[in-house]
Amino acid sequence: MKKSPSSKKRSYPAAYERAIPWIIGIMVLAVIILVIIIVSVPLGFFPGG
Amino acid sequence: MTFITYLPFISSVVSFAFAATVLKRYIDHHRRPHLLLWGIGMIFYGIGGLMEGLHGAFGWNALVFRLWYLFGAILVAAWLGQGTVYLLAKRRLAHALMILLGLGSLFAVWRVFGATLDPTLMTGGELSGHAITSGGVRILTPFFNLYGTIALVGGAIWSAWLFWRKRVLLHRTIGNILIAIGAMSPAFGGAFSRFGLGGALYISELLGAVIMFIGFLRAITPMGESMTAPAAASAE
Repeated sequence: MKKSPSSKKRSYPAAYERAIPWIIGIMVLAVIILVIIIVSVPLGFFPGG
Repeated sequence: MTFITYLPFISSVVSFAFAATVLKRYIDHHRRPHLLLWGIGMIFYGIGGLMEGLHGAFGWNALVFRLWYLFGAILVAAWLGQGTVYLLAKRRLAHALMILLGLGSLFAVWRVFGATLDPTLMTGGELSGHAITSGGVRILTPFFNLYGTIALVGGAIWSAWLFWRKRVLLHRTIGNILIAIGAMSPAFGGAFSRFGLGGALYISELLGAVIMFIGFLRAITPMGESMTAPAAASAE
């Protein structure tokens, strides 16, 4: 049976397929670090702004 | 004046240009609220940069400081984040959070303009919240910035992940990644600045404005089209 176009697995160009998951993962880590910094400043763990 | 002193003026110009682009899109595309709030947020970004530049060029001025602290340090992240809330969340929740943000912003205006200031407490050439001697003012920034960071950066990362998971609209995936990177840039620059890395804040603010602007243009322009040409009507 012929596959319809909508049932074909979509993909990005290869370079994006490899890079994007890593970039998103790094950004999630960066956000967590940022949240820790923001919360820690008023607690005196870091110099305040 | 050094080169570093000019950077806030440049980031201010970029911010205002970005705001004009977003607000034009707001007017042209059914006046969707997230565009209005992003436009307002980038105006705040521009005001913050302009005040930093004026301080660097002309020295201490209490009004300049208050405007910088209110718009640049307290409000900008939260208002940009609120735009993303309108884009991604249910309308009723977005309205409720908007009311809270509005009331909080009015409170911040009252506290900042009522604060007593001592510019001698600032070290280095950059503006710093250390000049505020009244209690209960600087404690406002973590609340607004935490909300803004989670909403704006978290929302952009979430959007990028959703588009990537479905492998659709690559331009939106890339655009949201750039917006998230740009939004985080001044936050990390501020942290480095607190640890004594001079100029880090101004450089990161300029980079942040430029990267967010590029990210926005990328997100509204399908791959293969020019980002500088007038964008066709899109779902956004």
